[in-house]
Amino acid sequence: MERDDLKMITDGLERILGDASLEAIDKADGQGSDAEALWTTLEGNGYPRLCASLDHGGFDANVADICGLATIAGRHALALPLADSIVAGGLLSAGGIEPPTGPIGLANALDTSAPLPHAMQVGAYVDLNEGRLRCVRLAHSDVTVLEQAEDGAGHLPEEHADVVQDVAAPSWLTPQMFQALAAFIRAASMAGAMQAVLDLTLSYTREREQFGRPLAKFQAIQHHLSDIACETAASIAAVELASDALRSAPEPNSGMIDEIAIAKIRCGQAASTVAAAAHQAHGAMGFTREYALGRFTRRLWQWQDEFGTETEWATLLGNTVLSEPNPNLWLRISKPL
Amino acid sequence: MFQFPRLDFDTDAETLRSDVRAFLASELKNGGFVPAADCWVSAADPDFSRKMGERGWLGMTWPREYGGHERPAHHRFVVTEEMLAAGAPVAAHWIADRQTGSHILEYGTEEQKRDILPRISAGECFTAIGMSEPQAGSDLAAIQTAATRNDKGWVLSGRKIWSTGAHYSHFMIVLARTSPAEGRNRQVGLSQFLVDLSLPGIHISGIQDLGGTPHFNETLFENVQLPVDALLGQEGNGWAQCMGELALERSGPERFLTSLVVLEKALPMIARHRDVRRVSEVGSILANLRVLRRMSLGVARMLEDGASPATAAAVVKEMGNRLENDIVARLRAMLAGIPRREWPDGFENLLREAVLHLPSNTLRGGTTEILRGIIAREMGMR
Repeated sequence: MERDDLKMITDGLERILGDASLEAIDKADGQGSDAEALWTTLEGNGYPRLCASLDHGGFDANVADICGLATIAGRHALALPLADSIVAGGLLSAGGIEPPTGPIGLANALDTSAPLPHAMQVGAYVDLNEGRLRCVRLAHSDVTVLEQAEDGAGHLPEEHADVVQDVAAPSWLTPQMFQALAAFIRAASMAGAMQAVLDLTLSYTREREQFGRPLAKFQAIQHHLSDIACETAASIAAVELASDALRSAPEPNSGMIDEIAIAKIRCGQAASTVAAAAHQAHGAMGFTREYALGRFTRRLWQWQDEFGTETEWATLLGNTVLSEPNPNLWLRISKPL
Repeated sequence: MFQFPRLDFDTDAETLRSDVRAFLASELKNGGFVPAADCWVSAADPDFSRKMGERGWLGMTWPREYGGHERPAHHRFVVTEEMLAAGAPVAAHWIADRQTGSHILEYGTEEQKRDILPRISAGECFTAIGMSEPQAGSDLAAIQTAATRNDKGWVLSGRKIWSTGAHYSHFMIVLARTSPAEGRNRQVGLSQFLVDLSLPGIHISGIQDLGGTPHFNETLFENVQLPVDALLGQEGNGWAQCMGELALERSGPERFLTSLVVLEKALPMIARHRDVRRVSEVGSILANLRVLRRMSLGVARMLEDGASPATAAAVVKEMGNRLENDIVARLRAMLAGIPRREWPDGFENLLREAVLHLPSNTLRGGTTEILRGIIAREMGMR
């Protein structure tokens, strides 16, 4: 997409989410009239189909183009599966299937027993089954909701397969690539949530006084904030690196998987550090359900696990390095994009 | 402070990278050097520096009329990162090439530029940093070294410490007080001087570091008569000039690559013994290094655009220093269970060298605590 178009769609999403009520944004099961109205607005503005082809009513956007949207959604702790739906729509469209309307989920491509993110919010999900790209319908009565999970994630029955449509997956769409594209938008959302955590922690520590001065004036607190800022900056850089890789060729290739792995590893690691430091600086207030911090940290902890944890991706990446006849890190660190 | 712009390498940069790699491979093969951890501080070899000068790899960004090569800053980045990744003996010229030369180019007299810069880019002139003092470390504005005017120029008295390579250097940029502090504002009244270390009244004594290498020094200035033009830049502008120097000093690849050479050496052995723990550690280290390099390149880009990205540089150094220490810790964990007889030749020494240099990573060029303070100030907390 052109730079101007990109700016228009990111500014547009920022405006829509900025105007939306907290009830619409943070409604964990994505149900209720506010969340539904928000989805209708997003759909009315063409967001869910950005990555679908022009024939399917989309804009043919590269996944890298929409990572800014995933970051904005993360910064607002948006419960609805906007980024998932955009990627799911793009995958279906690439296989020649017109994406259904309504939110669409993405299944874990490397572990079919993993919970389906947003299960209670979507009417269908996309998965990859023995080389077949499938659009599968979902009845919410089949979902076993994970009680402590965010945004309606849940398990499906083992033999769940109400397949609406399936086609041979495009040759580039390996299970690793499917998982990587899903992991990439999680990394981008984490980067956004970390920016929100930084802002929140900064304003809280400036206002809250103890021992007669604002917490922000204590060096120990400043060091927590510095850690949050550094990790957030690294996360943003990691997502940009993966975006550049995704834009480097017209069709996805395995080199891109390495760069996305790096983004998911780095953002996943940062999420732990950022959440811990922010909660420490907030004291007991941050540990309440009511205060805003938890909306972000709970999602950070969930997103770092979805579509491969940082350790799982590090194992994949490390195996790639160590399987070579002459294992070498420097050639990979310095690889041009 | 969160946006690190993308730096695109031009095609010349990749040709340059191949040339540097070929040079390093041939030097390694003919015994020109033994890879060292922390090589930009601990491995000084004037011959090696001269060879780099012959190839046009020093003073790369400076104007041709001063012996430079008028190349973009990212070409210098390519050369320095390749040298660090190989553990090459680059310490002798490192400071002159990284900051002193650029500083002379910006603030020096025409005569100084014509005299000194071509020698630096030939790999024949080395320099040291004169900031810290026995009573002024992190609190740099507390320095007591003073310069007073006389009819021949300036008289310099005081003591500088922790100056890496002062014992083989030809010049030192010394931060000195030229007028008193104004109340609590101690950053005024400081000036920088370009000091020829062969002048009478200068006594340099080596200090052994933790590992026993005399890489840094204490330098005593006893009423050293400096010429008028030793004043570098503007009188009283020393603090601001110093901070500009630190932006150059803090963001480069030497802030996260110093221990890579140790891990790289062990990698084939780790590959033979790979299990989930070792494999995921290698993947995680790669992710961290790749991202930090991207950020460091972002700072290089900002410098290339003429900005002075002091906070972004602090971010890179703070994270980089913790990472290079972390790499050594994780490497030690990965080694558990591998019999010593399988360790490659020279690995034991290399690892020990890296361990003994760990404390300095998070101290030199601004401690982790100082850097965190800079980052907090940028966020309006101080």
